[in-house]
Amino acid sequence: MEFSQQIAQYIITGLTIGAIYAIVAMGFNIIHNATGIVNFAQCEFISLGGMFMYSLAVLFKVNLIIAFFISMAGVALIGALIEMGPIRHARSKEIIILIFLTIGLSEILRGTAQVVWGTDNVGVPAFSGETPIHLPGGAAIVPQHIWIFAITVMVMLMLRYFFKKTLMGKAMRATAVNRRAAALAGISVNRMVLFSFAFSGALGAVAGMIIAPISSTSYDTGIMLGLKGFAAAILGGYGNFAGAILGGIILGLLESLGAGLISSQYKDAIAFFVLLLVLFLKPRGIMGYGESERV
Amino acid sequence: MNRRLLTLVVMVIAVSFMVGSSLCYSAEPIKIAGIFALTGRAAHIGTAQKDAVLLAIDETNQQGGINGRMLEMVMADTESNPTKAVMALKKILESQDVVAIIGPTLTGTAMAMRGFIEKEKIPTFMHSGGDVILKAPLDKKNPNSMPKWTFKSPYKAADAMGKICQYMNQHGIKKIGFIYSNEGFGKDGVRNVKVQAPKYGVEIVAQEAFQPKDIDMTAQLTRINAKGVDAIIAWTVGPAMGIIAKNIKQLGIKAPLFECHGAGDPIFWKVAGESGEGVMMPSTKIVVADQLPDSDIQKKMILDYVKAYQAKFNREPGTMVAYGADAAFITVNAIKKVGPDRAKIRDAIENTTGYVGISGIYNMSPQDHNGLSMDDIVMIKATKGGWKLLD
Amino acid sequence: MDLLLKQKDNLCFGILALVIVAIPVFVESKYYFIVLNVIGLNTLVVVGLNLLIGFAGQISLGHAAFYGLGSYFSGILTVNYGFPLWPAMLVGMLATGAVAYLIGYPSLKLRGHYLVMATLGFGIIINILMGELEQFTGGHDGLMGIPPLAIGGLTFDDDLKNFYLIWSFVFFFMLAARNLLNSRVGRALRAINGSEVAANSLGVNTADYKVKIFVLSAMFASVSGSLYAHYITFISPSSYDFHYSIQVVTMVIVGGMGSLWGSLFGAGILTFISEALHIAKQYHIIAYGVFLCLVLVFLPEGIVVGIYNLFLKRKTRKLIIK
Repeated sequence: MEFSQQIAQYIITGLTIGAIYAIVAMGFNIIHNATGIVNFAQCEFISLGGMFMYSLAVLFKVNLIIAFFISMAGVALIGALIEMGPIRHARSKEIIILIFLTIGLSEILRGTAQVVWGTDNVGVPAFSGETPIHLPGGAAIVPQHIWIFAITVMVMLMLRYFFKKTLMGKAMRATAVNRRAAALAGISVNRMVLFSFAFSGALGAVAGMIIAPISSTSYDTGIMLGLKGFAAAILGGYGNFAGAILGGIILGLLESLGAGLISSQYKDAIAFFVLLLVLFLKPRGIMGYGESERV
Repeated sequence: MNRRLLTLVVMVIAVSFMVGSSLCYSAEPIKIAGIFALTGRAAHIGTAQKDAVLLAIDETNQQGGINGRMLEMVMADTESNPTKAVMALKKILESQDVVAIIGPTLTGTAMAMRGFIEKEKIPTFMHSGGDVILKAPLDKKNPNSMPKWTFKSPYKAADAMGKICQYMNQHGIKKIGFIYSNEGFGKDGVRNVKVQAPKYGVEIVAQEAFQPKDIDMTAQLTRINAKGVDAIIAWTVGPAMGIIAKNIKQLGIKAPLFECHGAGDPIFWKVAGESGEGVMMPSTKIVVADQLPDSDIQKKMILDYVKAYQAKFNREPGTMVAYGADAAFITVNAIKKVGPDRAKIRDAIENTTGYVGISGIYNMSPQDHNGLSMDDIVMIKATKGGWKLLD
Repeated sequence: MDLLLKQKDNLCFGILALVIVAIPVFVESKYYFIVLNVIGLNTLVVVGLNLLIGFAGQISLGHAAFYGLGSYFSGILTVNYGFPLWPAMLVGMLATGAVAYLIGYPSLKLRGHYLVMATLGFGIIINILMGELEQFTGGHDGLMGIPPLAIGGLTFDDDLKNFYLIWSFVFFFMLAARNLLNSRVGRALRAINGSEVAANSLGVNTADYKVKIFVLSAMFASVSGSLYAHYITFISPSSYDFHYSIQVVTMVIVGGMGSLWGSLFGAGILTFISEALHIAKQYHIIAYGVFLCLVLVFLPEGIVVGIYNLFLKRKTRKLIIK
């Protein structure tokens, strides 16, 4: 295999992984914009998406498309429940407390998933088969990768449309900028926060479901993906959607090229090291805008 | 009238209590501790082995126990964490009168527990895979300080690797690529393959690593393929087994794939799907028991156990179930022979020779607390959702 | 400091000393000792971490790295190079502090979630290095045969002796932390926690203090790590992953950020619960999560402060009714 073909493969692989990281990153961003916290339960949203898909598509033999949307709705519901219950009623609104509350909630979700589905990894059928496709340039992919790209782009476009053109989207953006002003304008802040958690759940589920046919899924698949999705969000500028995509792509490419060209053992170390360097040079992430602090 | 009835009732109760308690006392169970990874990253292996051990103990109890005393397993969870493993060990040793220990699952937890087990002098039959458990001396300054109370049921990972290389040699495979999971098991594989491959005239031209939780290995496989290999060995357990098989198919790599001796498990098909077709691996005979020649002395025992396992757990046993079962049976047999005495059990286990187990024929000795050899391993091929014995 | 508060504080230390000496009289089980010892080790890390999180208002999700560095420095120096035991611990502490300085200096310029990511990041990087640098660390198989600590003829090679050793360290380090908090440094930290900008404008060199307290918290963790290594005599990278980092920060929060005694209780309660919940078998993760959520939702100031506040509320209510 020629060197240029190898590079082509590394790039395609990096973009694929990057797309997943981007979707997860967007999930983190939505909640951050609405509440200012990091929702570590996002990791469980990813795992649950895959496991719901497994139960529906494999155990109950439901049609893949229907299973996809039901799983998405199911995890969105869980996200909403988390917000309506513990998060909204937490006596302290301090960010660090809420962050660790999400960690506690993720333990509950993960523990429950372990009891329900056990600890085994399970497979999910690919959306349209596994026949390899050989691209010009020498790289090879499978149909699932096309689905990953397509769905990521669709999600991007839908989110962009939603936040720019629809009333609810604008209301959510308003809440993110200034809660009090939004409330004064008649926006139900509680409802906006609720929706942001539901959205985030749906996004996490999507990420988990589109990668499951390739990497299989289990009760704790989402931990590493969630962590890297968070890294991608930070890299691109926390809260910034274009940043999420940029961060995801860069992180995915770093991993893939790092493994292919430098060292597969240190691949993660290299990726995180670069992340740290970027943060030291650009403390708000690549596209992050400065956050103003009230003094 | 009421008073007399009451007295009668009380007497009956008192007598039955006395009789009952004396019965219970004489049938006091023999306790064995089972320490497994029931949660955490090795949970799926630990749970499977726990089931295997439980089945063995159940079978023994159904046949009347040991001299009328039932076996009782006291369980603890290492949480796949060495510190927690030591805590679990201490808890068991404190609160229960156990005569032997079976487990743990992960080599890291095994190594943490080893020192305390040797000090406490309790026979422990481990089913963790790392050869280092028996090879590493207890005291670095004294290279001859081998563990006396620790035994291990899985065959040496070195032998498993040797079996693959031997097969490769017999089938004209000269140059290979080695991809491994970047943690204890995978790295152990690197050490082993570097020793075994040259023995069989096989050259390692490419070596790549990945993180256990990675979702895509195409970069590493591309690099391996670029060096022109005749075959690829993937040394890992877990979802990566399937991802690598899928990636190889995706990249159109024609070189055959060999996986490790833990791959022979139903979970392989779950994670690999159609891409698992044709992958070869070393394994215990448990997954191909029905394909064994009738002349194989292990065949009947394995078939009986497999049937019981399927009946109880409603699933097929994977290759690692064999380790748990053997650890349990050998320990139980030792207790049957010498009674519930820790030192005697240890001696009895150490003197187990010619034992027809599921993983193989065990011939233990003071120098060899494992007792298996390369002859106990078979090469199998994954095909059509099941396994085929290769000769 | 308020004299009454100081007296109460001294009383608490006195009680702690008494408890430490008295426990072995009542407890015989080796299992309880190892649980208490792990609590002690965790407390040591959590106290240092609390200085950073609770008092200086920063965060670190990578402290497992410093705990691990302490273990590995002690382990590598004593096993591979035959270093004497106590100097090895000291060298480990200083070396870990140096690493913390190198990481902390650029990292602590970051704020909020970026700091979270940076600390997560270096925690992961160091954990990877522990596994990769095999010639020194023994790689993923771990490092074994670490000698137990000893003073003169007394070797700390069982649970009871390690209990005294570890808890003596806890006692003295908590005392040191208390004295630090009552000094100029402590007041500077509280100022930074209140408002960095205000503190800066008052002449407090916030960047300097933040890094220093980060280094100090790393050194606390390092000492604890060394004690762990000599106690269990075997270490491996899997003990120092980000799960541990999250665990210790959880202990800080549950105990009460900014409460020194809270650190002790946080470490104690969470370690104890994590073990006790094994009764729940496979539900123990869920049970632990539920406990955590309950505390964070209803007692966010931490258990110690939260319960104290509840008493205060009752007292004031009684006074009002009167």
